Amino acid sequence: MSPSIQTQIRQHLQANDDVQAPIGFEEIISRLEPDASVAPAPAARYVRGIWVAAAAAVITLLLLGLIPLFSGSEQPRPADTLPPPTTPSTAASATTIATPETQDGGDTILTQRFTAIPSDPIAVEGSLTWRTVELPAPGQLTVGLDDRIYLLAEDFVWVSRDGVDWTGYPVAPPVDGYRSAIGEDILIDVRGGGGVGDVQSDEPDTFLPVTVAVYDLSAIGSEDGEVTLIAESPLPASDGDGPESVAIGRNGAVVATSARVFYSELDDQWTPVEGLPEGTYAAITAASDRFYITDGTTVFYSTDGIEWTLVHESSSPIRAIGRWGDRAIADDGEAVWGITPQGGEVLYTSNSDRTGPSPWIWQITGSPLSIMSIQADTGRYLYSTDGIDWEDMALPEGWRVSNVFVEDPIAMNSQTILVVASASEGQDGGGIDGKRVLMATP
Amino acid sequence: MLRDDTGADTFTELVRRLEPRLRRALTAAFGSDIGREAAAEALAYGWQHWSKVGGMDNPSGYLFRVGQNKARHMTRLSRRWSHDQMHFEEPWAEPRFGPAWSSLSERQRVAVGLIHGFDWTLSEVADFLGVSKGTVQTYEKRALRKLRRELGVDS
Repeated sequence: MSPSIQTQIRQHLQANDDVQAPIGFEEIISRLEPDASVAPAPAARYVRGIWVAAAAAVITLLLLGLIPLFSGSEQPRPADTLPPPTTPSTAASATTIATPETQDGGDTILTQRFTAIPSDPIAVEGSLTWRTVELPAPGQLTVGLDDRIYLLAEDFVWVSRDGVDWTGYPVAPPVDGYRSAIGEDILIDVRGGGGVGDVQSDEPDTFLPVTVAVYDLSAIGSEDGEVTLIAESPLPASDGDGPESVAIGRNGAVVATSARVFYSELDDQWTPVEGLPEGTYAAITAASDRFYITDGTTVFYSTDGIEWTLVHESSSPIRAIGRWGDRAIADDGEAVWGITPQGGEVLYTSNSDRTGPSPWIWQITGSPLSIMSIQADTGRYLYSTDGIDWEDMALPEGWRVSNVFVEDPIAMNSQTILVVASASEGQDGGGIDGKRVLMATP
Repeated sequence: MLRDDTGADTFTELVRRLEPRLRRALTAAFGSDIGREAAAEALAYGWQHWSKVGGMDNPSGYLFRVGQNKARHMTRLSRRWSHDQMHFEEPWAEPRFGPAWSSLSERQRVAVGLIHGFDWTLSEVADFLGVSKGTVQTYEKRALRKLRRELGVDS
């Protein structure tokens, strides 16, 4: 006779617990960036380095028996007696100089400052001058509806208006950044999805829920600003769904998974959208108070995320969609379309120059409005500020957009264009931990 | 709230009281290797942000969510969660238990694992997950029902 389910659960978990080593204090502090000494360190990482140094001192004291591990209240308290992080010194490399400054209150890590000094021009192509610049941390670049550039770097959200001066705000739980959007003082981070299971099996045993975290960015901008979590909730998605795209508009947000589209008024309630034809809606964009979404051939428009209207149908597969003011921009390989609720208008045509092995990546924003598109494989780019006159040029020699960063590779405003790219193998100036980027200025 | 339960005034005190809970909860949800790794990462996060975490009403629940995100990230990087990561190979073990356990949702594993594996109360699990006791009870009931069905056990 089989033991009861409760008994089996207890036996299995207790057996597992018996063979699992507890996590000690020493192991915890050994995890604080062991490579922090390598490096020209930006603010956030440098602070970790300070903690590592302090932690190492504590370990030494522990080993000498001067501080008992897990001390009681009458004993010295290691965590409370650590020296607070201090302002790090200037760090320099061949092409950039990082001058981080810690805005710190005692042992409380608040905002971080980082100033990146661009290199001398490495190329002048058309109306753009290209330089290299180092970001404060590895992460995902994106741009909000407010035309600020955001760098989502796990524990910190970094914000800049020019790609040079950055302010980092702590965020918890950490931001994944893989599928995320920023707009209207809101950050949405979509996580999870897909199947997981036995490594020997092709079939997943279970599925991870798709979870949406909504953060409030309205407090950033002040010295003690912070990013706060508003809601974190699972999508009512089917097993195996993966997040595809997310966009934030003035009236809410839309998330597309591989099977469904969901709408929320920026709380923890996500409602499946009814009425859209079946398909995978891999790309959404929010332009002002409008959402545009495509299934690859058609573009639908909505003001509220609930009611959707067909506004454009393409004869060729749509390779990318972006926003430009209150319009959506769609590229079907034959033409670049500017799409409004009244329909599509051709902005740019070409018979051959956008056919290639990889899609063109569109980013459109800025004031005055600018459009830029890059093909990852070839390093070629299109640039326009009016949608009528276009430059068709190549990135500086040796640089290619890294496939790692195809999600949000470009952020730009009227002064600065940042392109996450890496040099080809064997070239100087390659990516360093995903932090080295190209910067272009008109 | 768990703050009353942990009564943690220092980080070391929090580690002493929280470490087994956090490790067991994350192991139940994500398997032995990723669960333990995520718990250690969450505690390291707590160390770095102690001035903030230490002032919270429910630091345990907060660090559990940090660990959850770390584990999900690790799971996505490895693409697969394996029930082989749990120690289900003992001679007395029901061979179908591992796959059955894997078929539960993440929250179902945490709820039923902590309640029946480590004698947590509904309130403790609810605080950890940041949900109501009724929701925990729903997770637990559904998990038990599914395990019974998968393993062909009546009780």
